[in-house]
Amino acid sequence: MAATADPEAWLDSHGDALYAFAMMRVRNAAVAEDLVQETLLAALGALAGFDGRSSERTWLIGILKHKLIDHLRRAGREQTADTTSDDEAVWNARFDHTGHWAEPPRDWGDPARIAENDGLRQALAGCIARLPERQRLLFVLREVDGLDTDELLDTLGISSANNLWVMLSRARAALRECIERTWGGGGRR
Amino acid sequence: MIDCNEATRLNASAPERPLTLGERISLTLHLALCPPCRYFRRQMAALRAAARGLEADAVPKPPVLEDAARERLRERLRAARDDT
Repeated sequence: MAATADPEAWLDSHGDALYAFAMMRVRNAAVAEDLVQETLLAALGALAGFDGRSSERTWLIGILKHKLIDHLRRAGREQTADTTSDDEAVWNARFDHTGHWAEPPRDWGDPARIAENDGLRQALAGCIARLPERQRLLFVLREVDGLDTDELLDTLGISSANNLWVMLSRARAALRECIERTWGGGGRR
Repeated sequence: MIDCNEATRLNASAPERPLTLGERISLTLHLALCPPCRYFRRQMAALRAAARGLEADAVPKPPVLEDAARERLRERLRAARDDT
């Protein structure tokens, strides 16, 4: 489909999708609106770069992703500590004094099959929204958007790879737990 | 021999964090003997696969632009296009 130089038409066709994409990552309506605006304006200026090989939606999301990373890189400098002793206490509470699971994970079955399950994906999306800000961003940029370690350190202003691994672990463990609580699927304990 | 707490730290930081040879051996041994940690590891794989390309509107009620926001955007886009 050929792109038309009409940002108002883009707004009608893709505005909600762009906004939802931004909100999943920044969870701030004003910031998300600004990002959508920047994206559509940038798209207007970059129309020559659109080769029509990807869909208009994919092209706009690609621009939005860049705008988002720029925004996060600027905001990252004002962030709070990456890891706290509270987080460590939350982690340790999952295990008893012998180091065994206090509440053992269930058998969800084959990962490749379960990943296609709509219920699981909905539970995952809902649980992502409930993660603390930094953990949510880190998980989404890593697992949904596919940023690599260097890009994550730079974008989020995380001080070391070690901190990044710890934060990612906490996000994943929290998500897993939230999904077991909210999703009826999965197998036996 | 590592416990479940330690095994979970290793399982949850994979694949980004490289394991030492010692860690790899300890984890393999632990997983051989511990079904819950094997389930956890497979859950991590399921999360990773489900998250890839997860659409923002996978939630039952995805956020949409409110009418006022849409109008604000429309105005600014019009102005920007008139400038060009």
